Amino acid sequence: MSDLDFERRVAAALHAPVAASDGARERIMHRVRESVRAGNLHRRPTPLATRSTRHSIVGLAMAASIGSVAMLSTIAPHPAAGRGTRSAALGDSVMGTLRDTLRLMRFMQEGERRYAFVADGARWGPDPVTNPVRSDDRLGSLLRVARDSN
Amino acid sequence: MSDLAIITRVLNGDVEAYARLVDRHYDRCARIAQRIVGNREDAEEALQDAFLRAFNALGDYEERERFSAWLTRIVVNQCRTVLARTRRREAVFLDVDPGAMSFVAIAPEADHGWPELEKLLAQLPDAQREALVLRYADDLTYEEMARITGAGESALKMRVQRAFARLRALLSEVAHV
Repeated sequence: MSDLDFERRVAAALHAPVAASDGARERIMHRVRESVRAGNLHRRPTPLATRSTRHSIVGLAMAASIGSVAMLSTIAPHPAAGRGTRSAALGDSVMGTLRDTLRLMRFMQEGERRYAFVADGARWGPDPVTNPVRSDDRLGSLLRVARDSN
Repeated sequence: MSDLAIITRVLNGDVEAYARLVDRHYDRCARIAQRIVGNREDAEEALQDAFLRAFNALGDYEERERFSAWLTRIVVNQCRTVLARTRRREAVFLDVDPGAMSFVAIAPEADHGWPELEKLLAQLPDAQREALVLRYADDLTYEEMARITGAGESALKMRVQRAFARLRALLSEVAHV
């Protein structure tokens, strides 16, 4: 295949449409409406809304105070990890260990998030207590994060 | 109705008019995001954040720039954020390799145009993949790409050339091209 043909083939592949999950556009509009209700309409970002601030403990506390929802998921460690304990900051998450369980805590914005469980470092699949949803060629679970109405 | 007319309506308080902008630009942005970050979940997360950021910043949008280019810049920045977050997560879970895991449940339908290419895109350096996607998934000129990425036109041309060379080499390893 000539360079030109290869370029055309790559271009065609990159230009091909991608499938969106059901309700993807509506989820965006849902967050837009929530943002309007929160009074964020067309304002310039304030210093308190920057990513660096959100990464800080203060930022996490503020996120909690405005009603963000924390998801605490538990993932069994890889067998090779043994009984060692470890903790680290994970992006805008905080994680630590409890006995032989690794815990993640993530403050999330409103919207829908897909997730899956990793078991024994070898398998993953949907949350068994939820109805699975399809994404790409895999099944996972859907978490709807909403603002606390209280 | 033009993008500018819709923006004017949104700025005048018609929030629902923004749905028309989302509809109009979603597919194009999804094509860019999914090919930059490599999977639909992260791409849709980046798109949610990007469209929300664009909405909240509409008051800052200036007419001298095409709305699509302005939005693309926000999408690309969100994709970079998602990629950085994914890398941090992968750095923590060094002993977890999703690619090597067996799937408990496999959905029956899969849409694969050129699966090898989709996978090998992930092996390109971020800057090369981003340049390639913007050039061919969105038909941007190098001048537009330069405004969006902040890189120089010659650097972007070089990245695209190198991306092609790297892709060709990688593809020859999995199949005769």
